Parts: sequence; C-alpha cells; structure tokens
Amino acid sequence: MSTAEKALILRAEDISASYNKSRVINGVSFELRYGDKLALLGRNGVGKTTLLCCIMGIVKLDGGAIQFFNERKTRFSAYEISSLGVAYVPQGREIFADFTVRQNLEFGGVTLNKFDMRARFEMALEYFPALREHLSRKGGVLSGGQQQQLAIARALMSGPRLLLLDEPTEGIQPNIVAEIAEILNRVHREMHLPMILVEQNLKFAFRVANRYAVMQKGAIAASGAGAELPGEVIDKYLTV
Amino acid sequence: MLISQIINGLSSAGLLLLAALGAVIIFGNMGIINLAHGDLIMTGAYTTVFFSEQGIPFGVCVVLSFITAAVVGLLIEITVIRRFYGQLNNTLLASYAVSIILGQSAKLIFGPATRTIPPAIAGSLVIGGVYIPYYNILIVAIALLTAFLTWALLYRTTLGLKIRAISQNRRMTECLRVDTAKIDTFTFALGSGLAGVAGAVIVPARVATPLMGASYLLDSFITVVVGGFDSLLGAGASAALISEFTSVLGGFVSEVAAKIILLLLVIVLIRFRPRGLFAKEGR
Repeated sequence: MSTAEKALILRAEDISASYNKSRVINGVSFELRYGDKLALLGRNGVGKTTLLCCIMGIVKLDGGAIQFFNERKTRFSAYEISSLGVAYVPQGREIFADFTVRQNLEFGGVTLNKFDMRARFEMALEYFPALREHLSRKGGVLSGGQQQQLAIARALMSGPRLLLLDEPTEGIQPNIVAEIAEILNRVHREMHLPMILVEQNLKFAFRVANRYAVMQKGAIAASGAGAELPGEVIDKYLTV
Repeated sequence: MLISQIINGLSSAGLLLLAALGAVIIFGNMGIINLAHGDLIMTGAYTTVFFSEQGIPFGVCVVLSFITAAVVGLLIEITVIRRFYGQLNNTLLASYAVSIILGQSAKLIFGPATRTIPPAIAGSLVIGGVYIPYYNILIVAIALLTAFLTWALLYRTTLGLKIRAISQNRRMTECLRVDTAKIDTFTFALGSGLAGVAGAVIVPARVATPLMGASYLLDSFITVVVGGFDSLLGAGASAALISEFTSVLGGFVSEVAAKIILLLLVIVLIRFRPRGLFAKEGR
C-alpha cells in the first residue's frame, strides 16, 4: 500500500504561531499517515518544539488548521487533543516529581476503567521492565534515563493513536538511548503507533524514524522518506 | 491557669485549622490568594445562623454551610476567578471586590448587628478543676474529622490525584486528558465549602457579623504561611502552634500584645523560611 493510500493520522495545513508577536512557525504544512514515524530535524531554535506544542494544543495557532484523524481544528486545547488520542512526551520529561512511579503511570491512564488500567499498566512495564523495581519510589528521585522511560511509559498508558516525542535522548546516557530506540521500534511494530519525533541526535532519529522533515526558520525546508538524510540536506540545514 | 490556657488553645486551634483548610486547598493547589476567603467563612456562619433559627439541627447546619459556601465559591470561580489565573495582581483585586460585595450583601440581608446561636452541646467536662466546654471538644473533633476527610479526598481518590497533579504541572496534566478547568472549579468550590464549615463551627463559639471575614482572612493566611502553602499537616501543626502561643502568652500579657508578638515572629519566619515551616522541599 502506498503512503498516500494509508489512513490519515494528522494533516497540518499552513499553520503559523508566534511567541510575543514574534513569528516562530511560518506556514507549515505536512501529513502523517498510518505507519509513519516522522523525525522533525533542524538546528536549535528553528521551531521544532514549538511545532510539536502547536500540534498538542499548548501553543495557539495564529493561522491554519490541523486535522487529527477525521477532525479538523483551528482552535483547540491540550485537553481536547489528548482526548482525541494524542500522547505527548515533552522535552525535559515533566514527570510528576511528587508522585510515585506507579502513580505517574496510573495518571497516564487516568481516564481508563480499572480493567483497562491494569492491562495497560502491565503492558507499559513489559516495554519498560526497569521501572518495575522503582514503582514505589518518587518520580523526582529517578535518574534522567529512568525518568525518560517513565515519561514514555506514561504516554503509552492511555492507549494513544499518535505519539509525540520531544528530544527523548536529551541528557540520557548512550546505552539507555539505544534501549529507548529499540523500545520505540517495538511499540511501533506491535501497537502500529504513528510517531512524530523531534530530535537532535541524527543517529537515534534514523534508528527510529522512517520519514524526515527538516525545519529552517519556522518552516519545513526539506522532507523525504528513508533511513538516512541526503548529504546536501545535512550540509545545508543541520551542520553548525 | 496554664493548663486552662493550653486547653483553650486547643479549641482555638480547631477553629484556626478549619479556617485555614480552605485557604490551603485554594492557595496551595491553585496558587490563588483569595481575599474573599474570610467572607466565605462569614457565608458559612450566616447559613448556620439562618437554618439554626429555623430549628434545623447543628450537624445539618454544618453540612448546609458547606454546600452554600461551595456554591458561592463555584459562582465566584466561574464568573470572576477563572478569568485571572496566573495574574496575581488581578486576582487580588478581583477577589477583594468579591469580598466587599459579599460583606455588604450580608449587611443588607442580615443587618449590621452581631448574630449567634447557642452551642450545640451545653455544659463542661471538669478535669482536675479545669472546665472544658463540651462544645470546645466538639470543635476539635469536627476540625480533625474535616482535616482527615480533606486528606482522604486529596490523597486517596483519583480526583485528589488530579488536583495534586495540576498543582505540580498544569500543562502536563492537561496533556494527559484531564479537563483542568473543571478540576479548578471543583477545587475552588471545595476550598470555599471548607471555609463555610469553619464559619458554621465558629458561630456558636463567637458571633457572626457581616464584616467578620477580614479578621478570619488574616488568621487563615498566617496559619497557611507558618504551616507551608501546600501542606495539610503543616496547617494542623501551625494552627496548634499559633493558638497555643497566643493562648498561653495571652495569659501573661494582653491578647493584643500576644498577637503583635506573633505577627513579628511570622515576619521573621517569612524572612528565613518563606515557604513555611512544613512546606515540601524542592518545589
């Protein structure tokens, strides 16, 4: 089946957004279809995180619209978007430091009934078995790598239809990075979960993603499919 | 005399804890300094006066005071407060305006004179020559029960988990399918309802007046500041500490002098522990 024939997950239509009247996202359009794992790449400050925040409803759109599955929206809140089945793993993880690991996980599935909660809880721990021995510890005392695993596991608890990840390798030691890449691929294989991944670590990005979009000055400057980036794209948009 | 002062201090601690509980919920979890908090206590007090005069039993009056103050709080949140989240100055001004409206409305409805009702239980327990009014024991019991129920709601229910999640990270909570606006409204109504319970319990021990809110507002916030902004346990410990301090010291100097010394100590405390004695660290 070609990409165009696969079910539409998300379509950004000429979206723009600003911080304090300064335009950060400038007419971005792209599509994400079933089976896609899209890596959003680009130098620091080009608008990758802001674009993810726009999709999640955290940053309001100045213009344009986003279609999620079958719903087209121009104004929406993070609550509405998450309720549509979009899960978000933010930069810096943002786990609840005062909650235990178990509470953090259960909070990820806070809208589930008890039966589903138990099933998802076991599923999350199957993907991230290292968390099992820390269930009664406060989230705030975990290492960066453990917190990142917890943040992804929490996102999976709700049984999402789309997963957004913002720099999941930031500040994480290399062996955990490799482990996270493997788990994300396994999640995609087993749950058929489309993903959008903002990442600076190109090696990690292409270990996970099967499509890429490179951003420059708040717009998408290059995009394509494949397991690696063309050299000229790296030279033009990613080398410092 | 000292024992008598200590026992008096305990019942004052009960009143202070009840008055502060709502402020801990609203300020600790929502970060809102609600200057109408004292007037919600007044609302509870007049609700109990009104229903008690209709022959309704005191226990039912306490519940009705909770409901009335919670409904008033709900309306305040929906019509005023929710428009000013994250805007400290505007919240202060808006809640001060609400405070004036509530105080003056009570004056129009109930008149300027003080009102009270007799204690639900008359008589005293005598231990070693010290008289402890049964109502004072009831105050402490209601305060402890209310504090326990509040704790259970916050720490043993999904709703409580949502309230505490919002206080830690509102944005992330919203990204996890929680309608934070609804939870905010509920939290504000809960805090207001707790203020109403305080008013109901205060009335038989003291009096209700339309402008009583100001002094209870101050007492509530001193308790919250000393105890820690987000700590129920801190509020309890702080209420006991402050009440015992003013009650025992008031036996040696005047009550006014005791309060002045307390306020000076609170200023010193704010300088060295700005988040209070029992606040959670690292937040």
